[in-house]
Amino acid sequence: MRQIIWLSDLLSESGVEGQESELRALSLQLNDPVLKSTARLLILISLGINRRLGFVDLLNLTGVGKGSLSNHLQKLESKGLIRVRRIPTFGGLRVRVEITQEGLAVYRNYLELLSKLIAKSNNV
Amino acid sequence: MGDEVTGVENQLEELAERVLGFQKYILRRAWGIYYSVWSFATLSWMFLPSIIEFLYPHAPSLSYFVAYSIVGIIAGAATARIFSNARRTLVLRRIVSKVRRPKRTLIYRMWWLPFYGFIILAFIFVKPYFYTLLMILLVSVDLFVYYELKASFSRIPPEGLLAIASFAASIALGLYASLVSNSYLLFGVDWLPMVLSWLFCSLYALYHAPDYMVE
Repeated sequence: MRQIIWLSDLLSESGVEGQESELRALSLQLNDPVLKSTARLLILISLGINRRLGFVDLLNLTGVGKGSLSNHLQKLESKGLIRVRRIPTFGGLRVRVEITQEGLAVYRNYLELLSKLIAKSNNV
Repeated sequence: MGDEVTGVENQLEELAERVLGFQKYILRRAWGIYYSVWSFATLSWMFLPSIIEFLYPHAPSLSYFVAYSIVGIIAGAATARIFSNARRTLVLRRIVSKVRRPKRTLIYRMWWLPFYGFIILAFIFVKPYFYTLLMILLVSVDLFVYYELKASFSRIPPEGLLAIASFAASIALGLYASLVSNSYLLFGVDWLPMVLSWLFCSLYALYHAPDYMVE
C-alpha cells in the first residue's frame, strides 16, 4: 500500500495563499502520519459509511494480509479513530471494528476535502 | 502546482472509487436481507390476520389492522436499519460522479406519508374496494424498489429484476382476484409468487454478493 502525498504538503511547499487556505486547513486535519496510508484511509472511509464492519470484510476491502490488517487496525485504534471488539457468536469469537466520533470527524473531513477539490477542478 | 493538486485529487477519488466498489458488495448483501425480511412480512400478512381473528373473533376488521400495522412497523424498522449505510454510500457516489441529488428521489422519499394515509383512508371509507386500491398503491412500492436498486447498483443484478417482476406479478394477480374472479383461493395465494421468489432472491443475493469483490 502506497503513501499518500497530502495536499497540505504541496501547499506548504508552494506557499500558495488565499484561495487555497481553506483546502489547506482541511487537509492539515487529515495530514496525520496514521492516515498517510491508503489502507488505513480506506478502512476509515468504509467505516464512515458502514459504521461497523467485520474483520473479513476489511480483509476483502484492503486486500492486505491478516497480520498487516491487524497492524493497521492497531494504529487506527491507538489514535482513537476506531474501536475493535470481539463479539461472541455461534461460530466463535468474531472481530468487529467500529468507528468512533473522532473517526467520523476525519471521514467527514475527507468528504468535504474531496467535494471541494472536485468542485474546484470543475470550476477551473 | 496545478498538476500536483490534480494528482492528490485523483488519489482521493481513486480511494472513493475503491470504497464504492466495496459498497456494491455490502449493498447486495443488504438487499439479500431486505428480500428475506419482506418475504416473511408478506407471509405474515397472509396468515397473521386469520390467526388473530381465530384468537379474538369479536372484531374481524381489527385483526387485519393490528396484523398489518405490527408487521409493517417491524419490517419497516428492519429496512431502515438494513439500509442505513445506503444513503451514506450515495453521498460519496454523488461527490465522485459529480451529480446532484435527483428530484425524483426526493419525491419518492416524500411519497410514504400520503401512501400510508391513503391506505388508512381506503380502509375506513371504501372498505369494499380496499384490496383493489391497495394493489394500485403497491405499484408505487414496486417502482420504489426499482429506483432504489438502480441507485444501489449501476446495473441491477439478476435477482433484483426477478424481485421486481415477481412483485408486479403478485400485484397483477391481486388485481385480477379483486376485480375479475373474486376467488377465495386466488386471494389466498396471490402473494405466494412474491414470497417464494423473494426468498430465492435473498439466498441468491447473499450467495453472489462476494462476486462484486472479484470485480
